[in-house]
Amino acid sequence: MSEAILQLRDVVKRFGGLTAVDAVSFTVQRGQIKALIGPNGAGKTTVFNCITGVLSIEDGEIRVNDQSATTLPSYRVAALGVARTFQHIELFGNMSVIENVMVGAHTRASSGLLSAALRLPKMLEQERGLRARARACLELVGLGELPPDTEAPSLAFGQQRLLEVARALAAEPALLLLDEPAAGLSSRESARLGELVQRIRDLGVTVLMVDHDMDLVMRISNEVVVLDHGVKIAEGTPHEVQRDATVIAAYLGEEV
Amino acid sequence: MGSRIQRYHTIGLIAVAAAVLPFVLPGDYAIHLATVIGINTIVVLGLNLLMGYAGQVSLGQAAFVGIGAYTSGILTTKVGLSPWLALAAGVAVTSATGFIVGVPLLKLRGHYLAMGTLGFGMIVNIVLTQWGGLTGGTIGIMSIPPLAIGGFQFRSELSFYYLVAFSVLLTMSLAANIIDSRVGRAMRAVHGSEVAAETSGVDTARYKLQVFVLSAALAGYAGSLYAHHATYIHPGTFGFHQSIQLVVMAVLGGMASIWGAVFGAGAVTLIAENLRSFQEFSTIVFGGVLVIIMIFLPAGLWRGTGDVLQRLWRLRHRPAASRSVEDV
Amino acid sequence: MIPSAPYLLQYIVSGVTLGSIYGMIALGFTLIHNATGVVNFAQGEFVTYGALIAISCSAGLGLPMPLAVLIAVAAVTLLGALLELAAIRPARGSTVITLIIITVGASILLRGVAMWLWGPDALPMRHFSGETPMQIGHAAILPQHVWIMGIVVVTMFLLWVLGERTQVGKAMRACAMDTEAAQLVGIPASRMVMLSFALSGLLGGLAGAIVAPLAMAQYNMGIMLGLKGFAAAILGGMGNPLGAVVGGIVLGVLESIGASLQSGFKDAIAFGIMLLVLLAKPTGLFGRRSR
Repeated sequence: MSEAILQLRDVVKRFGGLTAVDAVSFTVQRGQIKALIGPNGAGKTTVFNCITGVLSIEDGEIRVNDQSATTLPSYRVAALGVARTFQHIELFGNMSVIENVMVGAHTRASSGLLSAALRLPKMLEQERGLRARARACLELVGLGELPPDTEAPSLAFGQQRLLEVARALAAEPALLLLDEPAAGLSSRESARLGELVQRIRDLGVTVLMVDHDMDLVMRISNEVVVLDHGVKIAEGTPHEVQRDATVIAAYLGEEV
Repeated sequence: MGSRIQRYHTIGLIAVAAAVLPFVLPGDYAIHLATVIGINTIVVLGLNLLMGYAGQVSLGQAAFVGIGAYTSGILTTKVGLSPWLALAAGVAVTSATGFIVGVPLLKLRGHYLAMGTLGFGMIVNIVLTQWGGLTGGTIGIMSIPPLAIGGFQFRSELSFYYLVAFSVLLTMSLAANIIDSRVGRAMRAVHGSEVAAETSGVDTARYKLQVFVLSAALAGYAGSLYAHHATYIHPGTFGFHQSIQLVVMAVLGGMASIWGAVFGAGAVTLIAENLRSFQEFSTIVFGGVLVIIMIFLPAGLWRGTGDVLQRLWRLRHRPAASRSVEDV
Repeated sequence: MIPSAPYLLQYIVSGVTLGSIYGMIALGFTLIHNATGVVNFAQGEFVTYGALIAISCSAGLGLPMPLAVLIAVAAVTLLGALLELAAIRPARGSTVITLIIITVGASILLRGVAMWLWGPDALPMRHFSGETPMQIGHAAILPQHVWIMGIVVVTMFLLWVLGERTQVGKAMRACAMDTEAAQLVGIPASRMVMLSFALSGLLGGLAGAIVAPLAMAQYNMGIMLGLKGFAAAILGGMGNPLGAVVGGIVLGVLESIGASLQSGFKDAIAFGIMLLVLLAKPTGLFGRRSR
């Protein structure tokens, strides 16, 4: 079993004349928390979208668990064990908290239209399992006290972010992609999030996260990849990256 | 939304009401109206699943009703097939059509999908009108035999009413079961956020197609039922106007509501009935109602009013409940 | 089996004439879609009202034809603006289904009012300058054909001038291309939206007024014309004004030739083409990136 859960090799993504991701390569090792950082517009969310099949790439290769994920549609990438959260919250606003999380576990069950319509025993059993798993995920992220039938849109912002994480965890992913999970959170919520991410890693889920909260990133990540204008400019431990001249220039350059 | 128990209670209530209804109604014509409402409800339940739960649009649903009706009509009058087999064939043909049309059409979104379904509906109607050899053209098909079990024919208004009522209850149960299941959640997820659904592992194209075919099958079933009772069908019953009427029923009842399907079908059928002599006013009323409801109560008349009432109720009772959890 | 050459010209003439009407309607769809992303299902009703009001003015009130047409066009332009104000603006931010149903509802409403005001029967309209046909080979061209083609050409030209040379026109185009950016430079987006509806009303109303002598006017003429106009817009590439007009003409000619072969299925041609385009190349002939 390979140590690399995710491999990007020379991935290129273009939007018309703009090259948003320019021959980016990096690897995420099993059991890591890896951070993907860079100034605004660096292409971080685009990379996420390429990995999860939301966008198709012009060149390069993406491998998940040593299987090619380059041309797979999103739902097949998910089946390979990749789950994600979104920068702009994408909850299922027409469903309850628990239903949101249960959809996350979609790939873990298999009952179809017929067994649903007729309420066959196998389907009912799967439903019970899905519901139990959903409750466990909600507990894990700290939303266990919420009435499970609460409508998702009525949650506070911070809770909505946690709900997205719970939904992603329900899939029992091998790799969890977190897109700016700390955005909009208070420093206390951010700290709790950091603890949560570490707990998730301890449970055996590899994490790749994008965020701008440098404290959080530097504190909990094992490795950091830095992008600027679609190009990888540094990769290494948080310590190494913080001292890298190109990285400092990229961020300072942004301030000007 | 309501829990599963609530849904079963609703269905139970409707079952009782439906069983008793004919004895409360003033005569055969009223029972006939109730039957028409029932047939419409079956189609609207399918539309609700498609529009309200899966978030796809259909402006050509009457075409599927027509395909079901004509399949039954043609197979019984021209081929001599038994009505029950023709009914099954009606559902099969409509489902197949839904599949064939759905695969390409569902690649479209929003307005384009709406237009695509509209175009499909128009073409079906034109074919029904023009292909005289098969469909009898504008005259239609006559002398369609009624459904029968043994020697008993579902010919009388009362007997047919019970057949339809049973079908409606069955459909409602099936719909309720589907909504509260992995498949139902997947469908609703597609509506809630297609990208999040996809990255959660939902094959959105497949589910869109499934619910589209299901809604077509239900429409076809309703159409066949209709054919075997009216015994005479013609293209005028399955056109653009009826497709829009069905959408109005779905919207009025609140698209994501099983209970609402009955309400919407009932309200529109009764209004149309009463405005029959004022033809242009029924159109004006429909149009106006649609616009107003979609602007102010997009959740439909049933749920929308419910929501408003709930909010008013909470507003009145707020002082007592204002102590928050943290204070304790 | 194309009709024999001498008669081909006839079919092309009627095809281009009808097609330019489709083009005007298609242009109305495109304008609104570019400005708001909404498909205005009530577009066909603009045509209906243009025709019926023109008839009421000329035949009913005895007004001279140019005045009747002018009044009809002005009235429908106002109707367009009113539609935006009453039905679209309050629903800003609604889902696609909601918006679709709103414009569908509006079209039903307008149709009902038309039937109430003008009755269910088809009404004739006097040709602008007589009905003496001109012979070109085996083709008979009516003066009304010339009127239609001429007015459409002039209208297209004026629209081009509006879009390229006037401040208002350029503001509308800016808004259509990027609403946020346009607002940032001070263009009042909501007014531009209303303007696009008004302009669509103008185009639809004009189309109705000039085609009525050939096709007669009826409360429900809008359904088919609207749908075919939409098919033309899709064919030409939704979002491209030139495409809308070209799409209209192509559709008109295809329909005309198709009708000569099998008249019953004539109406199916437009829908068939529309479905074909939607499924094969949704961006149409000259498609632009869709909204």
